[in-house]
Amino acid sequence: MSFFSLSFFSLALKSLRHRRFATSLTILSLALSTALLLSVERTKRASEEGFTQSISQVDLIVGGRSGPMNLLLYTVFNMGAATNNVSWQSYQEWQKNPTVEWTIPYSLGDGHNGYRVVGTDSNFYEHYRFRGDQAVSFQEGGRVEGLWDVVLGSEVARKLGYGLGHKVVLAHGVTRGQGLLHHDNKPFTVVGIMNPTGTALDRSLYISLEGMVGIHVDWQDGAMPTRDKEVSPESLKKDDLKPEAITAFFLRTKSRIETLRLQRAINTYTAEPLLAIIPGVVLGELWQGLGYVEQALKVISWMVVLVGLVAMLIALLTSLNERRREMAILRSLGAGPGTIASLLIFESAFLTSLGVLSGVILEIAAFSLLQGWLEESFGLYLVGPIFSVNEWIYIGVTLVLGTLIGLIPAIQASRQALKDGLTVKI
Amino acid sequence: MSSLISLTNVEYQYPSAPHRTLKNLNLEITKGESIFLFGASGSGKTTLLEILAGVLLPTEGSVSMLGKKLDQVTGAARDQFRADHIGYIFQSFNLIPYLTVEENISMGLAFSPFRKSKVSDPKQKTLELSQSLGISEWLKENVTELSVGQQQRVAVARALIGEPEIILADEPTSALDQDHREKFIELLFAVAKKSQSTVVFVSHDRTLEPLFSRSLSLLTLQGVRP
Repeated sequence: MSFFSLSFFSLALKSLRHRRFATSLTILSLALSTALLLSVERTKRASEEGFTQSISQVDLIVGGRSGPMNLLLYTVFNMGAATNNVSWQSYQEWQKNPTVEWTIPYSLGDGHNGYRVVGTDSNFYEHYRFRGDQAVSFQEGGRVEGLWDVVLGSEVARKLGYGLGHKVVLAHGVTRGQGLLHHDNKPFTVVGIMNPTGTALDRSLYISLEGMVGIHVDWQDGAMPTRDKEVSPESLKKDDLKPEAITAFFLRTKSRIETLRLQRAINTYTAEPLLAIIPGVVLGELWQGLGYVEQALKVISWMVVLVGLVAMLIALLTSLNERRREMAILRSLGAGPGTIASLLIFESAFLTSLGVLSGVILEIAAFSLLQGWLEESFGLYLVGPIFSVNEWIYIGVTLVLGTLIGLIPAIQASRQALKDGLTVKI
Repeated sequence: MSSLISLTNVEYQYPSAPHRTLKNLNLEITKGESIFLFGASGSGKTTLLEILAGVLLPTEGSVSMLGKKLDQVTGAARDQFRADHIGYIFQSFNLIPYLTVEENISMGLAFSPFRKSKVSDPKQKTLELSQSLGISEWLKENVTELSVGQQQRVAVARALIGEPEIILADEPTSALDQDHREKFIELLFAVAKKSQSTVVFVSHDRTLEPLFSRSLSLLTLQGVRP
């Protein structure tokens, strides 16, 4: 093919190449705004996924009677505090309920350098699931076995720089920074460090229920023991320590159909005021409440896209005056105002397409490059497909908008071409 | 021989202008002529050319080109007529700056399948035309590298490719010095003759008048006694 097939399109492309500086700036601004829009959408999807999938396969969360949100926050997200406990007796009773498959006890109250300590049992390692079917796994060591063993969440280990065998002293009550009251005489030994999960698990320490009892065994009325009343850790045996209460527990039914009936039974349990919630429902409500942030981000990124398109509009409109001569030449060669207009529409459609395409590539490249960092630093797991229906819709809308905006310089150009004719009157 | 171009009682007034630029203009041109059309600056030379090219529609009167009533057809039809049958040469800045010499010449065929069909081998035709105009060595060059005189010759090649019946030239020599003017017109005539095109040349510079087969004054055409 020679240049003699120099068509309408290649004429437009050559003209754009001739103005390559303005052209590349326009494409760059469109690419950046598209990439931003897509990034917001992808981050939103990932964080929603991460958030609502913080816990899975748990049918009910049961705690002392308080609000559902509160219960969810202090169990799943390590936020806020429990107001009531669940007695060990009630826990055992519900555990033995024939419709219950398993339970995970959760005992809170202590902390370490601002991180929470959770007292639980082997069911936690066995049954706790997040993001579908992800179980707790270890990058080093393993589960808590002994009385004074502790397992660290990945962030705890990383931030505090603890390794296996490190002695950890817990503080009474969850406190920021260094606690006021320390269980100095009963240090725990790190036996395991969990893999990052992107959930609150990363920011917790895990000990056994007995360990939780053990550190408080010599405490009386919530006060620290005096030296003479201290019980040495060596004298305590795991089997002798029985918890009197736990903070909450997670529960799995044998059949999902049982969930609602069981929830009702627990909520109307007369021996003790308890609250059972379905985590998925409350998580959904909580996410809805946070949704306005996402909406605001989306509005802002659409505005950025609009700014990108306006930048293109300005670039095309300013180029028109310099191109009046070019248009007059095309007119003399037989181009009608319609041809001139379609030339401009093609230009804006082409610029928008190239901008959107570069934006998509930019977004995908940036996310695959930053994936590890996002997971580690923000717990943002980029699960699911790279492109959802939403992304396709956004791309489509941007392309249509870009082409429509191209109508403005197109109409302007064809009007000017009609007015100028073959003489450019400046 | 029937007339190639026939204007009868043509009037033209720009929408915002207080007076008519052209009034009561009559013009007959037959095939093969080379017409020198002169008039002072602002006398409406370009307006007349734009009417002949079908870019402007006369306010009054009829325009017949190659037997086609241009004043009675749509704008799109006039555009197509121009693409098919007219080669236009501007005073200056004839060329599209982002195309090569070769590509600029081929633009003469871009909007006309009719003219394209008359050229069996466009590449060969471009070479022939540029050889007769003495610009063949710059075919691959960017047009901005060329001198004004060379650029005007590229414009001639573009106007003549596909052998249109009519060549309209709007003072194409005004940017050239005296020696080059005559040479340019000789070249123009030579290639126009080969393609049997009729040349209508507009200028205010009457020194070129003797080169043409017929000379007309814009004032005379409008019935004003000289």
